[in-house]
Amino acid sequence: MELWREIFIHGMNMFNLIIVSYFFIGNGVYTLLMVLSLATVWLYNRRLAYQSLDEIRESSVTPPVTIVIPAWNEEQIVLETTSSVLRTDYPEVEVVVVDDGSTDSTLRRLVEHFHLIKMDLIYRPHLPTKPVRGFYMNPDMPNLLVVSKERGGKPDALNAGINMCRTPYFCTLDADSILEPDALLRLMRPVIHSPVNTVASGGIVRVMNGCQVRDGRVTKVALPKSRLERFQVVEYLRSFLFGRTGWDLLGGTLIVSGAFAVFHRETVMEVGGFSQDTVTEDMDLIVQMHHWAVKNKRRLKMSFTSDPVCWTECPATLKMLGKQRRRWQLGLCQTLWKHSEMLFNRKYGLVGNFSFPFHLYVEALGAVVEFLGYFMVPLAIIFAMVPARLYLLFVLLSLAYGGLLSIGAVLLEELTYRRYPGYRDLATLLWFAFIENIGYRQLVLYYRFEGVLRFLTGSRHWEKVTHVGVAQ
Amino acid sequence: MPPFKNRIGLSLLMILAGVSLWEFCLRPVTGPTFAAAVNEYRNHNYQQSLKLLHRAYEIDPNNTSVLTLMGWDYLKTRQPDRALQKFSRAHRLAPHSADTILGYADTEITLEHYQHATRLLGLLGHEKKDSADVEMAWGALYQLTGRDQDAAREFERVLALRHNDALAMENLRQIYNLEGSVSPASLRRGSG
Repeated sequence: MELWREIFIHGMNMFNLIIVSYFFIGNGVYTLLMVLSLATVWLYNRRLAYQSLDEIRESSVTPPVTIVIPAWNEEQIVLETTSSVLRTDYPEVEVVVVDDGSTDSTLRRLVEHFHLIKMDLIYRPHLPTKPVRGFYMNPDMPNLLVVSKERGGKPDALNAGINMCRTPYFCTLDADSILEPDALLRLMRPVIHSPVNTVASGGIVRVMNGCQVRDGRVTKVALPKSRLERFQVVEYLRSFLFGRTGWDLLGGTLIVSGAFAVFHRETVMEVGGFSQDTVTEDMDLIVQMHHWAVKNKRRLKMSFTSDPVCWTECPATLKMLGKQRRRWQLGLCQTLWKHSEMLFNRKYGLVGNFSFPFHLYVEALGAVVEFLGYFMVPLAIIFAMVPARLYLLFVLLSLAYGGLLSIGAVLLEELTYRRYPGYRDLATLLWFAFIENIGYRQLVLYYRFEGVLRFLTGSRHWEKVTHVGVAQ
Repeated sequence: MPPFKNRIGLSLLMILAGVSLWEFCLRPVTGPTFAAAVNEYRNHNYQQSLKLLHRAYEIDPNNTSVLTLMGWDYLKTRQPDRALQKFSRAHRLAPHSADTILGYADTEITLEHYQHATRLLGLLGHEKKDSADVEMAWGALYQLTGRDQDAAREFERVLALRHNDALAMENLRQIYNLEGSVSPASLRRGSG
C-alpha cells in the first residue's frame, strides 16, 4: 500500500512537471507567433496599399494556373464552386474538376449545368491513380475539364487532376469552397515576387456559414447563427491569422491548407504527388517537399499570405465537427510519425529544430497532456497533492491566456481585413473569443484526443464530413 | 517501425527519462531545511521553525513530514485553523502516519470537533497503545467531553509512561480537586 502511494505521488509530480512545461512552452510559442503575425500582417497591408494587383494581372510573365477540384458526393455545392472559379480574376486559368467516383449526382449535375460532352483525351498517369472512366468538356468552355474516375480517395483524385494539368502551378480547392474573385492573384503574388522557387503558397480559409452566396460568390459576409459555427469562425481566424502567418515569417511552415493552396507542379511530381499514407495529404505533401529539398540540396520556399480568401463550410453539427477534428489530429500524428527523422535534425534547420518539435509536442501530444490534465489534476486535488486554490489559479490563467490569444486574433482581423464590418459582429466575435475556452475548447480537445487514440490503434479511416449548404 | 527506433520514440523516452531524473535525483531536497526546522521546534522556536518549513514546502509541497510539522507549529502558536489545513492535507497524503493523525486529532480537540477527534484517535488505537502523547490526547478528549473518570485513567497512564508530566498532573489535579504533587496515594484519597 505504502509503495503504491509513493509511486502515485511520484507519478503525479512527474505529470505536473510535464503539464506546467507544456503550458509555458505552448503559450510562449503562441505568444511569439502572435507578435510576429501582428507585425507581418500590419506591414503586409501597408505594402499592399502601394502596390496594386494590376501588375500581376497584366504582366505577360504571370504563369498560368490550373485549379484542381476533387469532388466526391458534393452535389450540394459543386456547381457553386465551379462557377466561382471559372470567374476567377486571373489572366490564364484552367479548371479541372475530378469526380472521384461519386455515388450521388455530382457528375450528372456538372455535365448538365455546363453542357459537357464526353471526350477521349490522352491520359498520362505520371502519378499513379485509380482508372479514369472518362473526360467531359464543353468546346465553348475550353478551360473547364471534368475527369470522372473510380473512387480512390482525395489524394488519388488530386493526383489525377495533376496528371491532367498543363500549367507550371496548380491550385487545389475543396469542392465545398468558394474563392474570392482576386484570391488567386493574391495567392500567386508571393510566388511571382519570390527570388527562390516557391513550391507552395497558402491562403486564408474563412467560414462561409451564415454568409449570403449568389452565383458562386459570397455577396454578403455575416456571422452564422449557431454557436458551434461562431466558435469555429474565431478558431479559423486564430489558426490562420496567427499561427500560419507567424510560422511563415519564421520560415517554419509545416501546414498549408489543401482546401486552398497553390503548388509547383514539377516539384509535387518529383516528390510523388499526394500520398495515401496519411489522412491529411496536404500536410504530408509539405513535409515531403521539405524532405525532398534537403535530400536534393534545393532551396525551396513555402509561403502563407493572409489576404487571399477562400470561403468554406465549417461543420454545423457536433458529429461532423468530431469527424473533422479526429481526422486532422490523426493526420497530424501520421505525418509527424512518417517523417520522424526530421525531428531535431540539423539538416532541416528551423523546420526540424523548432517547427516540427512544436507540432509534435504541443499540437499532437499536447492534446493528450491537456486531456489527461483535466482528469489527473482533480485527482491530485482529491489526494491533496495540489492545493485546490493553486489549481484553480492555474486553470483560470490558462483559460484567460487562451481567451487573450483568441481576442487578439479577432482584433487583428478588425484592424486589418475587417470582413465582418458591423460593431455588433465585432462584439459577438469578441464574446465568442472570450467564452471559447469554456466548453468548446474542451470539446475539440476530446475529439483531438480521440484522433490520437485512433493513431495509436493504427486507424487509417478517412472520415468524410458532409455539408448541408449552410450558406444562405 | 519499432517505436524506439525512430526519433519521436527516442525523444519521448528521453523526456520521460529527464522528468524521472528530475523527480528522483535532481529536485532540490528538503532534508537539511527540514532537519533545521525540527531543531527549532524542539527548542520551542515555532516561528523560526515555520519559516524554515515554508522554504521546504516550496521545494516539495507534497512532503507529509513537512506538512505535519507545519501543523504542529501552527498548533503551538495557537493557529488551529491553519494547523487543520496542514494536518488534513498530510492525512490525505499519508493516511497511516501516526504523528499526522495525532496532530490532526489534537487540532480537532482544540477546535472542539470532538466526534472527528474520537474517530481519528480510534485509528491509533492499536498502533500506539503505549504512547504517552496518544494517552494524553485521549485524556484531554475525555476531560473536555465530561468523562472525568476515563480522562483520569488516561492521565494516570501518561504518568506511568512519562513520570512528572506536568500537563497530566495538572489535569489530574483539576479532576480530583487536589493541591501539591500527585501520587497514587493522593489519587486514591481524592477518588475515595
